Amino acid sequence: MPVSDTAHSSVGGDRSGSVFPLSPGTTGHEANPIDQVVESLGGLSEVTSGASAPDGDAYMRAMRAFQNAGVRERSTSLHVTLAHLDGMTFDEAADLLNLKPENLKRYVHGHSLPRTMAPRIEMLGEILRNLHRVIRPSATVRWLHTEIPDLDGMTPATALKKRKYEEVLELTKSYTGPVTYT
Amino acid sequence: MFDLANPDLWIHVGVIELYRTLEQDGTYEPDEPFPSFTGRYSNGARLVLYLARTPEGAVAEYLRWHPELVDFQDDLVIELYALQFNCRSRMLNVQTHEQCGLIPFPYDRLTSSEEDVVVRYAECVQLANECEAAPGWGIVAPSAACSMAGAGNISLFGANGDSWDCNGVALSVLPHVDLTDISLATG
Repeated sequence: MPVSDTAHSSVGGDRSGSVFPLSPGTTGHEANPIDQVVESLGGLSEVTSGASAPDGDAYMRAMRAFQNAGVRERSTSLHVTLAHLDGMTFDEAADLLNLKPENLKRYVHGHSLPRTMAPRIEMLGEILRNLHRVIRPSATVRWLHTEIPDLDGMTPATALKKRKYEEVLELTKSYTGPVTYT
Repeated sequence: MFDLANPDLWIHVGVIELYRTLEQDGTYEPDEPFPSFTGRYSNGARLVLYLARTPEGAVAEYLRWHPELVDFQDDLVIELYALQFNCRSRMLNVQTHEQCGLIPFPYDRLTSSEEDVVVRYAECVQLANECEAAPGWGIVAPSAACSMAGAGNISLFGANGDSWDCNGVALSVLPHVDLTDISLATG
């Protein structure tokens, strides 16, 4: 479910779908680089709906724009990663990051992220980027709950909850790269 | 040391269409050969371009090591390319048990699946080394991944323009491959 510009109003409320408030102004903070980039791409709806589109073009444009803009804040990585978890509930997303939902909510609303969060966020982001080079973003949740031999039969969701970020990252790396006719 | 002297072991495939999958936004060209240490006929130095004879074979090669993605075929966004080649030089032809027997080479090692990549490919790498020295410019072999009729692989050695030319690259529709037609890796 794409996130709308007004989705922030129901964060923590009664929405059962993915609810990731990326919109500036959610917490009344000043516009930051991610907000400016999102605005330059046509607004939040354009970026987030692109994130759930089959080809993910808008997402890739957003990623490049973020990189070009030199944005490196951890909060940016968090927002971009969350935007890629199409169809996932807030609580499930928190699980993948080994966070309590209320803490994730605080971080999404602009609370400063601890430095120790950075590897988790970056690895989950890379996992999703690799994954979406081979399957549609809309299939992400199903994939997260699929038992995988290379993860010793665990699902990616379970492995991430067990903090096996490196293992899941290696798996998704193996999805990309040249096939050598095995 | 293999005996590759028998002329029945060599083939000129000429103009042929072959297939290859790439991930979306891959950083290499569909007709770009590459050196690796983890390919069936690769030794870390030789340029090899691994290709399938059928679209189904190419997709099966991808799914062989990722069985969890077999049920995601409707959601796959990997790209399948049909490539037009003119292969100008001879290649080693080990498509059949009989041809392997002429060498002799254990036919089942052409489709080996051990988890340890060094063990899995040891004999094939040696065969490729001797093929290259013969000289031969590629290997025509059975598919380790696809059991459908007509499936097979052609692995080209060297760079585009050396002994083969790629004259056309086109995106193709991904076929759906039944699980029963995929030889999943057991390693």
